[in-house]
Amino acid sequence: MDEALSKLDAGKLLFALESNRHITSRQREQLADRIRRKETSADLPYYLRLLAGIGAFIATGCLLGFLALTKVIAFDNAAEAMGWGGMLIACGIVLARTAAIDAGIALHSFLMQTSFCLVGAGKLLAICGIVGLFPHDYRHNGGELWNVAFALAAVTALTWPFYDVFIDRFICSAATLLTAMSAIIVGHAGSEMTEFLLNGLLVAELCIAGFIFTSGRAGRSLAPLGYALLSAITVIVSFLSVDGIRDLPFHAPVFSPAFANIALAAALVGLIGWAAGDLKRLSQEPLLIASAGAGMLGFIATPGITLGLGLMILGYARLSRRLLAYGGLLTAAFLCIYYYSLALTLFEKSGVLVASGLLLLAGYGYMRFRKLDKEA
Amino acid sequence: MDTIRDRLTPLDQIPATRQLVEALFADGKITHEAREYALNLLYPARRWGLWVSRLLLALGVTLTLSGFLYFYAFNWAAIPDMVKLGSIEGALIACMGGALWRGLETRGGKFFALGAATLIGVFLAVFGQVYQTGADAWELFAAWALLILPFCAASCFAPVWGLWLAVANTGLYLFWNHYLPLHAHTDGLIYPLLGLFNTGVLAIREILDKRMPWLSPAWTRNLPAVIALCCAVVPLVCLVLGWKDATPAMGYGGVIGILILGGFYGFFRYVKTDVHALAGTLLAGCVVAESALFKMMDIRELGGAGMLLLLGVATITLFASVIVWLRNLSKELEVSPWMKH
Repeated sequence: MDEALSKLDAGKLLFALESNRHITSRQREQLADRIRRKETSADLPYYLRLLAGIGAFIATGCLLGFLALTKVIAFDNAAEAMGWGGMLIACGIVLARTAAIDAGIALHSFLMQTSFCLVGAGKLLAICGIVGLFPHDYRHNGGELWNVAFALAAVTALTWPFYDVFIDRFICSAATLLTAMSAIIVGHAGSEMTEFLLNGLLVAELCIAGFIFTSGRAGRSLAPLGYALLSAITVIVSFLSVDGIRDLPFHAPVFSPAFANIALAAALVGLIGWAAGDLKRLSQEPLLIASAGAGMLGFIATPGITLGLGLMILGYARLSRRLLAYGGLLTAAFLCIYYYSLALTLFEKSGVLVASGLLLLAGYGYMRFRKLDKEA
Repeated sequence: MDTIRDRLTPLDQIPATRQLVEALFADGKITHEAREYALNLLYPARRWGLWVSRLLLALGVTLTLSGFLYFYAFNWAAIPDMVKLGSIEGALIACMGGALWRGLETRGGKFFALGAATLIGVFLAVFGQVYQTGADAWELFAAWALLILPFCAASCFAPVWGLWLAVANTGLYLFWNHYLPLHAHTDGLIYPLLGLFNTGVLAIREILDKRMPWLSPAWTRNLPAVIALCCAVVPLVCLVLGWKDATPAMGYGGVIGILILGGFYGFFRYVKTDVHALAGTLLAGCVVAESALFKMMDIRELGGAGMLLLLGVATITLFASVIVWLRNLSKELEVSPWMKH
């Protein structure tokens, strides 16, 4: 669970709803029971999850090393690799289920670590097998990378309903998205299709992330995918914003971040409306000004700054310290990159910086003048 | 038997968040009006205004100050020395004046003190450049650390203390590199030195934190603890992996590393119980134990494959044992509030 900024707990919220006659006493009890059941999971505190993750990661490496050295499994035989991979995954899932059902604390920890280790090794083997089924020359349209991306997506989707471990779901989702991005960049090097496909991927990722983070219909089980999408969006935006990254041998020099910036600005306006409680409220004066500012960012800033600000708003609206900190770091980093890469002399840059700083301070002054900065 | 499924999270430990409200509304458990009411309770519109205004202020000040820095960088060669030093001194005096004006007990005054503590370092660097004092880098950091000590004491502000810790560690590292170039007999002694220094800082923090509430944030404990633990682990791992070719310095480093790990364990287990600090200490211990296991299970004797399988099982057993122990301890703390510090 994310470390929340909220000072109000679920119990107090339900009592507040009851005392204002939004729910009855009986409904409050039913909702309390429902919230508790949904909230409770077998997750360990974060510091124990870190320990478990490190241990399982080392053990996975050892297991894979053992399999490679003993040559029990022929990695180059697709059917065998897939078969063994499937078997290891199945064993891992059974162990995780056993741990969740009736294990004590000691056995649970041991079983979950072993399970994570088996599933990790099994997934790698299964992916090797699937990729081996469709040999492809990577120089043509990123074929091998697309194979890996599809294999990752297939393995992730197949195991998703059965293996409810946040870190496993997050790693697999992020790996799938990043491999797809790499396949686009490498596979269509020098072609105008790269920009088109990359922008398409970004828009798709934005839409899915928007649904996961803003809709109540997206359950907690989709949270790892949501965070993986945010990571993938950050990577695409970095690729589009940082000149140095794009100086790769396979880089298509026709890229323009303009479309991505406009898409992110549009998402930012939607986010402001959602944070206000309803998109219809965007017509109110403070929100209208905020939306105009977001729209302006779409034309003058870089995608990274817009993304960072969006994440900060999302983090504040969800009372999530992690998202807020992540957005703050991204904003600071992309602001530095933006001003650093402006094609101006240091003297001109100093003028631009002071002017933009004064503009923001003028906004602050306006809010103070209109008394919009006072807590009720 | 206590099973995982038996433990439902108490309602007062579940934060009320937008996700919770949205999920109840999406499932048809609360009405639109109830959703509106709950969201307004969680996010009063005025709080958004305050947040946005603070964001504008922070970004505005940062960009404006960065603009001035660029201006100085552009015109650095052309700016007379007097102006260079004078402007920094002016800013320093302004910060100190601001701190006195606002009072060191206010948030504004504390930030002025942090600004002054930072500007002292800038002033020393520019002074050294203008007058070519020939001072070594470590001397600059040592002087900086010494000069801002009164600010740490007077401001009662943890970030100033964090700045001091960073400056002092850098100064110590530079001093070691300057006077004791890496030879076989001193190689690696910087780690125990930094480990002892940060342990000392941590000890002072632990003695004073009851009397000085500004030292209560967890990071004031975690920062020196993490540095000390890292500095304890490096020589220990080197010693374990290079046992046969160990130099006396590696031996001293290893002994001090063990003392630091043991001291941390004893202190955070029995004196001031802290599960997070214990988890860090045990992780450090696990890293050392893993290195020892790797070294012991010689690849040539057992055969690579066998060694790796054994190592994998041993790793899972080791980490699972630590997790179980920590879980039991945190459970024990939950039911025994008198043990909490």
